[in-house]
This record gives sequence, structure tokens and C-alpha cells, in this order.
Amino acid sequence: MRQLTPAQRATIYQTWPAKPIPLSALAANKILFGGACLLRGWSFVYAGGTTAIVDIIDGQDANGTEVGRYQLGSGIGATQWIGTPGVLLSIGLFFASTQFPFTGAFWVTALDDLELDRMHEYHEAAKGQAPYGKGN
Amino acid sequence: MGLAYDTVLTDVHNAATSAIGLTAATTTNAVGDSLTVRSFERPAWARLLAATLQGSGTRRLRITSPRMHDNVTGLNWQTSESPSQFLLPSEIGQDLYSVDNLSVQMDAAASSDTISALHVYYKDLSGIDAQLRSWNDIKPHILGEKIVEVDVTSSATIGAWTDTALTTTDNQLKADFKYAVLGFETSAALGVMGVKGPATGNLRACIPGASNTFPLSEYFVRMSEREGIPMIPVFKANDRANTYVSVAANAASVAANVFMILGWLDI
Repeated sequence: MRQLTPAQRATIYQTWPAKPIPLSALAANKILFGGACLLRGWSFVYAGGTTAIVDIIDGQDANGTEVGRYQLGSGIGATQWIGTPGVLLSIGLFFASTQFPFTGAFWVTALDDLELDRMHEYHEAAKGQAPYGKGN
Repeated sequence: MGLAYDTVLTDVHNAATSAIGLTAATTTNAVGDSLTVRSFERPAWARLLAATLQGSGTRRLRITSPRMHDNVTGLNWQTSESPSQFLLPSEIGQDLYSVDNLSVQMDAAASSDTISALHVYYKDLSGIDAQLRSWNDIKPHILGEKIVEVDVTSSATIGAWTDTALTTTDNQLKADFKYAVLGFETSAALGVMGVKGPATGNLRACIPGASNTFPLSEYFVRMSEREGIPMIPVFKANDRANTYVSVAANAASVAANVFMILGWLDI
């Protein structure tokens, strides 16, 4: 595993696209992404009847750190693009709500070393340079 | 090197008088098991080697994660018999990510349970140092074979493990000697069966209760050779009091005589 410099990591965080994490008709509180990541945004719709209170949490359960909260009526959605670098989630992305179901997706970028290594390789290749450690 | 081989058990309970679909069912993990991949550090790796499924009729299993190919349909199987084991490609399996949260979905027939077991291997898991060996390492050290009978009854709560002491039915293992667990046989269909004890880091190293892949009696040998990694648990007879046969089934209180196929070692 190559050692990326802080500058290289910062570049990756600023430029690497987010990955969609679909809710897939979510019917209960759920860990959407396990592990540290950057939260870049979301777009979801509430399809239930009663007003729902949604909590977006940095954690593996509802006892984590509150990141954001919505109060949504039936058929109402929420879309937010945070952009780069995004919100740092140190534990994971946990979705909690008083009512269900939800459809839509969150957009995250993983932060583990393997993912960063892969991003760096792609990033260097996209710039027309040989990836670090290969042919250099 | 902190090798580890773990088995994660999940259950879908359908109390309704009609079948329940794949995405509608609620899965429950066995007590102590988690679908969150255990934490490990690179360059160590973790792999899903196989999945076992047991249910009434032809059942489906789906495993997804945002870190896999896709988070919508992911890995999909459907049984042709029960229990069924689904092997992932040899020597590569499905890579898993540290603390990633896996999602397991199963369907179930009317008024029945479906259970699944994920067989996960860790190359270096902090705090665990399972005594796993390769076939070539132990083959020249086998003095003979011993088959230990352990009469078990699966849990009255479907989807829960039952751990039965190794010495429950037969207690003839020779003190100070080591034994390699080559495989198992069973007199009745179980979902999964395996060994748990100090030699496995107190994780459950389990095999399917029946297999459409290769003989259960040498399951760990075949898997070790197939994957190219040490997978044969080796325990010391002196640990017999803390070594257990772990079983689970998709029906309550299944009585079975489980036979541990052991290689008696001179190491």
C-alpha cells in the first residue's frame, strides 16, 4: 500500500466523485455505509402518511453524532448537494426516521486506504501520467 | 499472524400463512453475530468464501454492500436443495472491507424460517490467532484418525446457535496431543455445523450441514486446498472442556449426532 502525501490525499478528496448509496424502499433504520467516509449529499423522498422526522447520523446506530435533521410530510423529499470535500463521517452513515418508507440515495466517498490508493491510481492515469510505482 | 475463520448466522422468520419475498423479509442476526465486517488493517484482507442457506423449498439469498459490485442486487443465489452451499470463486472469494456493513436478504415459505451462514476468512484479525493449518502442513504428522461423536440438539429458537461440549458423548482424546479437524458428518440435516474453542479464537469455524460441493468429512482439507490458505483447525486435547460443536438449523430443536473427523497429530 503506497503512502500518499497529505497533498495527494487532499487532491483526491477534492476531485474524486461520490458513490450513490440507494435507500431501496428503506423500511427501517439502517447503516447505509460502514466506515469513515465523506458525505457529499443526498436526495430522498418520504412515501409514508404521517410526518416523519429524519436523522442523518455519523454512527452505527441512532446514538451516533447528529449530522442533519429533516421534518417531512407525506410525499415530500429532500435534496442537498454539499460538494467537496463534504462532511466527514468518522464512524459511518446511519439513517434513522420516525416513519417509513424512503426511496432515493445518499452520495458518499469512502475514506479507507484501499479506496484512496485506487483513487490515486485512477487520478494519475486520468492526468496522463503513469500511476505511482508503475513504470516510474 | 492473526488468522480467523468466522461464521455469521442470520435468520428470517415468517409467521404468515403465505410466502414472504426477498426484499420484504426482516433478517435477524444470531446473538453475538454481526453483519459488520470485523475491523482489520491493510495489507491484511478478509474474504467471503461461501454462503450456506437452509429453508423450506427453493429459497433465495442476496448479499449486498455499497463496497461490492453494486448495492442493489449484489450477490444472488437460489437453492436447488436444502441446505445448499454456494461457493465463491476459489482463491479470490469476495473481498470484504473493514467495518463494512453487509446486507443479507432471504425469502421464506409460509410459516417457516430460512437461515443463512456467511463463511468469512480473515488474514490478520487483531486479537484473534486461530490455529489454522494447511493440508500439507499436517498431512505428514497424522498418526491416525479419530472420529468423535457429539450428540446435539439445535436451538429451540430458530436462528440461534447451540454450542455443545466436545466431550458430551465421547471423551477419548489423548491428553497433550493435538487434533486436526478435517471435517464433519451428521445423522440429520442441519444448516451448519462446526467447531468453536480456543483454537478458533472462540469464533465458529463452520461447514454446511449438507453439501452439493464436496465431501463434508474432509471439508476443511478441500477448502484449504481450494483456497490456497490454511483452514484446518488444530486444537489440543487439553482444551477439550472449552471446545464445542456449534450447530444451527432452520427448524427448532433438531436432534442430530454430529461426528467430528479428526486427524490425530504428532506435533
